Amino acid sequence: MVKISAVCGMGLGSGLLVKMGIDKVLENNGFKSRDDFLVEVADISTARGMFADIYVTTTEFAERLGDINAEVITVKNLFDKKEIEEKLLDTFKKVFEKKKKK
Amino acid sequence: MNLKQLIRPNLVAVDVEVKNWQDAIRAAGRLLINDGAVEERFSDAMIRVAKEFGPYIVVAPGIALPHARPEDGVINASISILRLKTPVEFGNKDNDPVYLVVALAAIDNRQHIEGLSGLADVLGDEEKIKDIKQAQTKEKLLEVFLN
Repeated sequence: MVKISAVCGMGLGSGLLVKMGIDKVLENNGFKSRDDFLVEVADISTARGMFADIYVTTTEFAERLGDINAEVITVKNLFDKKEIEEKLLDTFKKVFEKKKKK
Repeated sequence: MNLKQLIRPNLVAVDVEVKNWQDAIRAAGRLLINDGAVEERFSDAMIRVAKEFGPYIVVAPGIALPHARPEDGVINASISILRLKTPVEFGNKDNDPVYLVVALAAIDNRQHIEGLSGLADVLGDEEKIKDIKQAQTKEKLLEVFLN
């Protein structure tokens, strides 16, 4: 299972939006939540401790995450599922395949 | 809670003139305060969050989503919607200037998921974004969100 962390300031607003977008995009592409992937909302203070495979966030927070041993994807329009799909899907599939082999 | 429960008619305003982003957040906060949805201190809390975390609250082109914590004086879970007469800069290089301020007053993390999901459906729809920009009255603007 690929663990994805949707990061925002407090985990109350934009992080939830990102999570909902990712859930929809991945499910539309045939992946199952809790089976193939799990999206959790994190705030910027807890994000690094989530040990996610992929972090999805805005440009601002990507800078704050700093060096991290994971894929980091930045989204500009959190409501735009097309943008989330374009930026996330290839990376997700790559990580998904890699984890399946293990 | 769904959007209809969260966005009540007196929580919507159009063509509001503000000087800067703090003013814009305050004006959106004022709608919530006047409705009794939040305490007076909620606006300051939203500004503090925006300063603390940077202009990430501009979550889409032209759209800011200021919010604060439930313990910053939220009484009833609500969303206020403010369309600005003249867009203002929030300091977000990707998505400035902001013409729409959507202020979130959440009671807890779970309860407003349904509302946020409804909000995402509206604000992720290009046709609805056009309607939001063109709505002549606050009643018309509210309709875009509820229909």
